[in-house]
Parts: sequence; structure tokens; C-alpha cells
Amino acid sequence: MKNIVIAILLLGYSLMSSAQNLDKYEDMAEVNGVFITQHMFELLSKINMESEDAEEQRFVNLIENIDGLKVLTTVNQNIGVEMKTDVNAYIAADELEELMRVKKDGKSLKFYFKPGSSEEKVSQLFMFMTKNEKAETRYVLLSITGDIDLNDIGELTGKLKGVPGAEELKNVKPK
Amino acid sequence: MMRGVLRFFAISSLILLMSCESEPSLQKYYVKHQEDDSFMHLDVTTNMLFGNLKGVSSEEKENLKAFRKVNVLAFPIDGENEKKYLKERDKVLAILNNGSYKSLAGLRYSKMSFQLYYLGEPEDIKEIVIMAYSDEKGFSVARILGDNLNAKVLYETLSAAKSGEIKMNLDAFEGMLEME
Repeated sequence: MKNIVIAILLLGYSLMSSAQNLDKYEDMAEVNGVFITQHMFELLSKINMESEDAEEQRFVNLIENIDGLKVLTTVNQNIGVEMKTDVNAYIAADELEELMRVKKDGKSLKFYFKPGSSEEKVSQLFMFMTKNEKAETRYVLLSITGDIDLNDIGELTGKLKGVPGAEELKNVKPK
Repeated sequence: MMRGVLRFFAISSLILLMSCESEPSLQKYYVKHQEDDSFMHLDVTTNMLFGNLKGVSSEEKENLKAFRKVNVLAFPIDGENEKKYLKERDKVLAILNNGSYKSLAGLRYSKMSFQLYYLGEPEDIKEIVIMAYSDEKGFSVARILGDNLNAKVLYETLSAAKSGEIKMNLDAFEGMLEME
């Protein structure tokens, strides 16, 4: 009986800690990554401030409301598999809702979101992608936080061409 | 009563001043380490950095004036100084993360880390800092000191540099980057 209690406690603990632990991948030598903070988005929004172009203005409005963007990627299979487990735990613990799934050309993408200030807005956009490359699988995690209008997200990803999943996000529509 | 309040303010502002003074700044770190044999350092004024100023439009020239100076301090690993590398690298990172600098972006690629920070406000960028490190090669911290520098000027200059309108004289930097 005692053992069961301990086992459950341990399980609970490991689930909890792994959910909080996506940050640990940032410091791993085998993981590459990029992060952009709200200060950078603030600077970027100042550049096009005076633009009269409506499309530019939409872009400015969008990035002004972004708090951060993070991409982590690895081809190390052990870390990748662990990352996948942690991502699933993270999604469950943070109650992220599924937005869409795409599977094509050896790629599997799953998008999730957290509801934001209104129907059309999300406070977080999260993506996890696995992609079959020559001899290995690439694992990619993307997280954008802020107050993001899903109608504008295609706009943003059009400008950030290097961002993984950008192509698929162009077609995203709020429910 | 009034006197007590005044004294309280006098003392607290004094404490505030003192605590600001004692906070390690990147400037102090530079001054302290540029004579250290483990470090390499380079100070360039922007006149030297932008090679062919003749072909540049007057607007771009005005923009370039906003970049006052570039300082680079580098610590190459030579096989025996790993411990000191870790200690000094962490000191620099601690200064950058003490709250006065705003973190802009970071990149980690093939065991190299790059971190970008700035000091000031979008309309008045006082300093841009690029910190690069690798546990195999060492670290290098570059400061670009601004003078009426803002986001727009920064962007325009970077675009001009990219399109080759302003030829950057990067020879001086190449030596620093090949830290082996």
C-alpha cells in the first residue's frame, strides 16, 4: 500500500516537473534554438510606425501585441523523444486547445492555442512538429505568446519566412 | 515631522545612489579587463568602421553619426583557461541580466550562443550589446554605443549595410572572430 502511494506521488511529481520543464531544452548543447523577446517586437513595431500602408499597419498592430517567440529544434533522437513526452505533458497541464493538425511530406504538425482576450484572439500559439529527414527525425517546437489575432497570424508568418510551420499557418482560421 | 521626512528622503536617495554605484556595469568590466592578458580588446570609432563614406547619401551619413563607437572584448580559450572562461562568461551574463539591459533575442546554433541586448528606449538606444560564446572557443562581447540612435535609424543602417551601400570595414573584426 505504502509503495503504491509513493509510486503515485512520484508519478505525479515527474508529470508536474516535466510539464514545467520545456525550458530545460534551451540549455542543451544538442538543441538549437531562437528566441525573440517583446523588446525586439517593440523595436520592430517602431520602424514601420509612420507607414500609411494598411498591410504594414496590420503587421505593426500584430507585433506590438507579441510578448515572445521561441523555437527549439533537435535531431538528437533521445532528446527528441523526451521532448515529445514533455510537450504532451505541457499541453495537458497548461490546458492548451488543439487548433489543427497537418500531416504531409513526412511532416507532422500539431498546433495548439490558449484562448485570449476575445473570440478571435489567442494568448499563446504552440506548435510541435516532427519531420523525417534523411536518416533521422527532426523535432521542432514553436511557441508565440502575447495577444494574437489569428486573422493576422498568416501575415506575420509570411514575413518570418524562416519560422517552422509558417507555410501551414497561412491557412489558419479561427473557429 | 517635516524634518524627519526630509531626512528619510535624503538617506534613502543616498542609499539608492550608492547601490547604483556599486552595481557592476559593462563599462567597468571593460575597463577592468582590457589590460588582462587573457582578453583581447578592440575599440573602433565609426569613422574607421564604415569604409567608403563617399558613395553614401547624406541621409545615411546622418544615420551613421548615431553610431558613436564599437568596443569588443574577447576571451579566447587556449586549452588551459576553461575555468576562468566560465567564471568571466558568467560575470558578463550576470551584468547583462541584472535588469538594466533589455534582452532582444538569442540564438543557439552548433554549440554557439548569441545573445542580443540593448540599453535605453526604442527612441533613444544608448547601447547595443552582442554577447557570443562557445564552450570550445571562448566568448566575445561587443558594444555598439549610440548617440541619438533609435530603432528606425538602426533598421535603415542595417538595410543599407546589407545591400552594400555602406561597406563595413570588417577586417578588424575577422581577427577577433577566429579565436583559436
